[in-house]
Amino acid sequence: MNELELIQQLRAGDEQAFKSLVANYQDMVYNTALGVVQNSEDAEDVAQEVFIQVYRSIDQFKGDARLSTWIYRITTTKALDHIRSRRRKKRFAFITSLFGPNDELVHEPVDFQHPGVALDRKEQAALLFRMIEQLPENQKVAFTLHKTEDLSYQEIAEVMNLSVSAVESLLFRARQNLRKLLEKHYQQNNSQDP
Amino acid sequence: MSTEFNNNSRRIEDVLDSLEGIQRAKAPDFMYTRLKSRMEKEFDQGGPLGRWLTRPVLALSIAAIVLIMNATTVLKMWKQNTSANNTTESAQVAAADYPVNVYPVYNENSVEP
Repeated sequence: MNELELIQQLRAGDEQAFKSLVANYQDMVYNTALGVVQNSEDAEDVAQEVFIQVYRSIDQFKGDARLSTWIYRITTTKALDHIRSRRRKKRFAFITSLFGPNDELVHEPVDFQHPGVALDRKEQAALLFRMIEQLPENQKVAFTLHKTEDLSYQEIAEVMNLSVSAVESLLFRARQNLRKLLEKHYQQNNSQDP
Repeated sequence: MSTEFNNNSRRIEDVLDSLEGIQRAKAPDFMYTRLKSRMEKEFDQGGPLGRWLTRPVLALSIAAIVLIMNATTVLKMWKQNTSANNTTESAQVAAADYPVNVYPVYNENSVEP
């Protein structure tokens, strides 16, 4: 079944077509969401929301872009929404959840380990993901799509509705910011070492 | 100092390149089954709007707003009554100070027919 047929069958409400769509795109959606939200449960939640959105708004898909580009766009938007909502919840629950009954820190943030990273790079990748979390949203999305989904500048530009030069600039700034954050991290670590 | 700088630079470049060759993470097993059950549940509840409207936080917030509005109205009414009473009292005091009826002294020498 080609993309056009799949879209037509989805519009007709064919359940088998929807099942096929999920099977074809679930890894792509899950991996993209995982790169942005950096938590496997949240990533699954986002992936489900993405497919529900696709099911609901397939009629609005004009076919100007590829189906995968449209799904990437929904995924990044939903993932960023998820992060914002998580931050709001965290702000409200901060005082109650931070300290346990004996005033010990309960929710020490745990480093995210991406399952696709090579074993000998796990530690460095976890540090990089921690720094990526501190990037502005646009830079974070561009960098994650480029690194974890191996998208070209052209593909990222289509997903983010930007020009290729804007994506180049976003990725350049992302790398610069990450370098600064890492410098700061290592300087602090060096000064703490006796 | 220079060695430390070089060490840090090398470590930073290593970290920045640590996602090279990363494999795509696989979606969890039975994702379609879980997705389908969630969709059925959501569509039964009238979608996200339905779920949002039935959230306890929303219900409690609305109840709190209604209570505050009621309390404000009662307070306003009570204040209006108090000020109305004050107005009556001050009118009576003013009437006593500046009586409009005939002063009785004029009646003392009045000639009775």
